[in-house]
Amino acid sequence: MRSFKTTALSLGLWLAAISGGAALAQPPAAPTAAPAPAAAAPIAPNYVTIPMEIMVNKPAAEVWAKVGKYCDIAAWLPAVRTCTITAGPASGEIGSVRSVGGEIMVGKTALSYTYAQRPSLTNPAAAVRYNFYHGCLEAVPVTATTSKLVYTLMYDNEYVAGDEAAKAAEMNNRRTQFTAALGNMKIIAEGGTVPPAPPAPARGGGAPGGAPGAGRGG
Amino acid sequence: MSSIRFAAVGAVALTTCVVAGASFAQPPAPPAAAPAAAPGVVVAAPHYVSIPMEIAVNKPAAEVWAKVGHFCDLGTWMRAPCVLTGPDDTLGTVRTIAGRIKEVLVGKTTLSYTYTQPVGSNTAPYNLYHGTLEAVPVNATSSKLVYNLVFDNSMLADDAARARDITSKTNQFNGALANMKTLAETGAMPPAPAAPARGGGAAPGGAAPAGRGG
Repeated sequence: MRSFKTTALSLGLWLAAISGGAALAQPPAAPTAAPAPAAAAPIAPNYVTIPMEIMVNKPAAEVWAKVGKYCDIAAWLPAVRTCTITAGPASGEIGSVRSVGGEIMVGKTALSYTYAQRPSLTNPAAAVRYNFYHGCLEAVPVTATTSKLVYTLMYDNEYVAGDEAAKAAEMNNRRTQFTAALGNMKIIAEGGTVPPAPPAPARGGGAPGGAPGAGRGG
Repeated sequence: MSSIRFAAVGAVALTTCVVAGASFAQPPAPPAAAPAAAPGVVVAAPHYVSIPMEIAVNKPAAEVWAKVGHFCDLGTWMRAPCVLTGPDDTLGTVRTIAGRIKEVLVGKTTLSYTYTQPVGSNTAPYNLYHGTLEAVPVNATSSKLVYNLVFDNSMLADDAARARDITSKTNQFNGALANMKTLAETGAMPPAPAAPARGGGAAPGGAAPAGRGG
């Protein structure tokens, strides 16, 4: 996996390697150009991405019909037992909110959707640590009979406690979880049955969702 | 539980630009559950709206996307300076529009991308503004460009203000789609319209009323 961190300097961009994913940081806005800041604006967000994919021996449209509805997540993400649409279009369209992580669908194409978690609505302390969590799931046609599922997570990991090793471990935790989810999607799409989910990990043993230690989402 | 409402705008397919929608609600939060708000981040009762728009283009989708689909192509079809920080068209890339509006690429497919504005960079309070632009194949020689905005407009003063904001954004982005169509079909932008009088223009960006973004 590519790994880099970007910071804008007066002479341009520089890249430096870190482990675990692609990371981009934007510089603080120049004082003269910045609008009045809203509360809790991160000074130096560190955006990271975790791209994952799996081949599927079925056409993309057929795959998407089985795993691409917004609440299908309950069938393929081991940590999720149920999912309901809590607001917005019940059919799962842009603006739909699902019970899993309170995630809102913010983008959709024929064979993909993108969702986001928003800052906590009920916990100001957590809201100011909003990590900008987004996920994008897509079925990509490969041949007339095969496809691949691509899942990309993207978020700001500046609030992940600890050093770079801790941040890398946190990313690996997510990668492990969502790679398992892709494996389940492949099983479902190819007509198999997903094995029973393992027992839930002890509290604190992994936050599958967006917010560090808080979210449980897709 | 917090109240979350949603409304998509309009319900009628037009000839070239579409605005469609419905409205949904869940029960409001009991007062006792509401925390002390942190201005700018916590929103007690978000009201999500979406603005779907589209335009037919007489060129194949891949050809259209090659001309308008790079993350900073906005600089051309929105007629605003656009600068990238980070690799072009890679998730996490930040574009800066007109020197001050920051938008982050958060989703991408072969013929689409989704972006958002970071907390605190453009809006106060945060309105979860997202946009998606897609080139959709129609047949071998034609396509349509689809632009969808979704955001929380609960922080605007009243329904009249929300309606004005939606109309403003709809006009702004239908104009952008028309520019994209011309650019894709002819290879050049149409002549720029005369600049509106200061203060009389729409607020095209995510923030209401300050933002001017994609």
